[in-house]
Amino acid sequence: MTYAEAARALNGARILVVEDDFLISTEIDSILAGAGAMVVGPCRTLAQAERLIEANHISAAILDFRLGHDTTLPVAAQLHRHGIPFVFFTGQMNTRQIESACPGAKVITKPFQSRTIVAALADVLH
Amino acid sequence: MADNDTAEQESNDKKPVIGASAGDETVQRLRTVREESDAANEELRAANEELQSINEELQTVNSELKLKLEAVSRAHSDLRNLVAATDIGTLFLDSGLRIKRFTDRMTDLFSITTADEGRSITDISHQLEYHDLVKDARAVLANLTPIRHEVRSRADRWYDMRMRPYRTADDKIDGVVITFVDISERRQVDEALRVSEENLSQGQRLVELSRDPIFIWDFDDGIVFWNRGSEELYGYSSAEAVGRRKDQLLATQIPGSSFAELRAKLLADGSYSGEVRHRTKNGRELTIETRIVLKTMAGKRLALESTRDVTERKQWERRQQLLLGELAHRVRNTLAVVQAIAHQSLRTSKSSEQFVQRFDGRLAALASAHTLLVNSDWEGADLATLARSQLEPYTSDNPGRVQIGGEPVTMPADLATPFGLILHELATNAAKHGSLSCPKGSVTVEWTVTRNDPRVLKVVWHEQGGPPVQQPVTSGFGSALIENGISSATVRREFKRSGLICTIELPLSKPAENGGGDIR
Repeated sequence: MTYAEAARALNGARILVVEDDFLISTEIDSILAGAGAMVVGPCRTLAQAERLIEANHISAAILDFRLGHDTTLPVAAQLHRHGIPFVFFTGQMNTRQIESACPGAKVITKPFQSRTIVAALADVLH
Repeated sequence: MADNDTAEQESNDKKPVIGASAGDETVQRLRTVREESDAANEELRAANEELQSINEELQTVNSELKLKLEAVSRAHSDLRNLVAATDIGTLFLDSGLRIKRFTDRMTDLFSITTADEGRSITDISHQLEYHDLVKDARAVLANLTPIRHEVRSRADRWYDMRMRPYRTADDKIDGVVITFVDISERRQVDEALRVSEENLSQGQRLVELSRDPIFIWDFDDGIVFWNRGSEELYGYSSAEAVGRRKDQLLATQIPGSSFAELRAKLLADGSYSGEVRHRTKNGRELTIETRIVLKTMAGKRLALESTRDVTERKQWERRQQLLLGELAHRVRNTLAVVQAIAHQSLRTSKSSEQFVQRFDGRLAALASAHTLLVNSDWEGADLATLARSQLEPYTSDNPGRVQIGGEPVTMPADLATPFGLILHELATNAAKHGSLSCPKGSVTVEWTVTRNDPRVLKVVWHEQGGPPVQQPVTSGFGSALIENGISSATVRREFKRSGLICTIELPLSKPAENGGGDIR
């Protein structure tokens, strides 16, 4: 899938961003906006994410695996219940913990290229 | 006989006169002679009988002597054979210390031949390192007390030398008997035994004193040996440990296996090595590297076990692994932050020069905050130091322009980096539009911490003496960073004519337990 194709898939999609670092969430906002998606969030806490999922029609989500001292696994579970696709991203080199907790989940490692984010989300939306 | 001769002489003398009366007389005389002859005959017979009995006695004596002689001869022969056969060097000296007799063995030690019999022992050279030989022999003769020494020959053989007085059958002292028994082999065995015992006792002492835990347990019973190292590591004294079953005393656990399997492996292979868990007397669980060898000694199956406490090393390795993972995580996260700074700086810059300037400044702010965290092992950063380091580039020409003060506060690691960036943005703005843009302007940074829980840090950034400021029309990346850089912070900016007042309030969460902060 080319970037253009991926961006088409994202166009108009409502993407939930769960990331508590301002700089990184700003970056993701820019990437998603650049691909024509609408950003829901960014959420900086689990509670905020839970609220936004219930209140919005989310197309897909992108979650930082670690949020403060917690993980976003509860958010992933909630998304799964709603049948909403999602991707994780993480600074962890070893992604086994995520894979075992959430089998089959797509994981992007930091630092990331914008095309990787866009392609991954387009892929799960497909 | 003399009587017979006389009778014959008388009969010859009377021959010429033979008459009747003379005949009677003759008859009478003959009768007398006859009687005398008979008597003599009788006496002779008696004498003969006596001689015969003497002869018989002599024959008896003779045969007895012959028997004795044979016995003596046999004894002598036995003695000769004994002397020849004996391995014991024996030397007989008379009371003048002259050689009377010796066994063949003596020729090994003394330069003697049978021709030397009768010569004084003092004239004979020998191979012994024994200078008091003659003196001792004289002493034995004088005191009648036996002397015994172990003496060495020049050929490095050892002899058990015994010197005792020679007593004759009638208990007279008639010289000295010296015997030499070769005890070289015994000495060698003794010596080897001594050396081996010494080695053994040294080895045992070493094991005893070793700081490495070493103990022995009966495969079918309890502990039989427990060294100092075991006492130190496990806390049980030797008296407490000996007799107890090892697996019970140390609550032995084998990860992924069992003590029964360990025993089976020991039986099958004769040895075992691996990682096990042992519990000390005070209940501490230890990770142990153990080596066990099974030996059968005196009918007992003994397990010789040497252990090493690797608890700390394992913990260190785990921590090391954790730290390495954490480091990789931080590096990747920081790279993502740098990437975001680059992209956002680029988006909001009008020229590449402006981009480079902004990007460099933010990167320097990030690096400076990181330095403080690294210096504190990522525990946190002292707020005053953090503020000084962020403002330092703007005050180098006039340090008095910036006043920094407040009670000591440690910024948690997860807040220190974004807070440093916020201070950097405030300072950059001040230098561009605010109080740091003119020589008279100044900035005070002051803070207080509330006592309630959670404690709230309130930092006030106050610019004075600068040009009048106005709220910016468009909100750029810098402003967004100031207002949203820390999600839990409440930021209020007042653009007063006298200068900007920025109040930042943020709850200070307790430092993370792993001391590592939580940069994602």
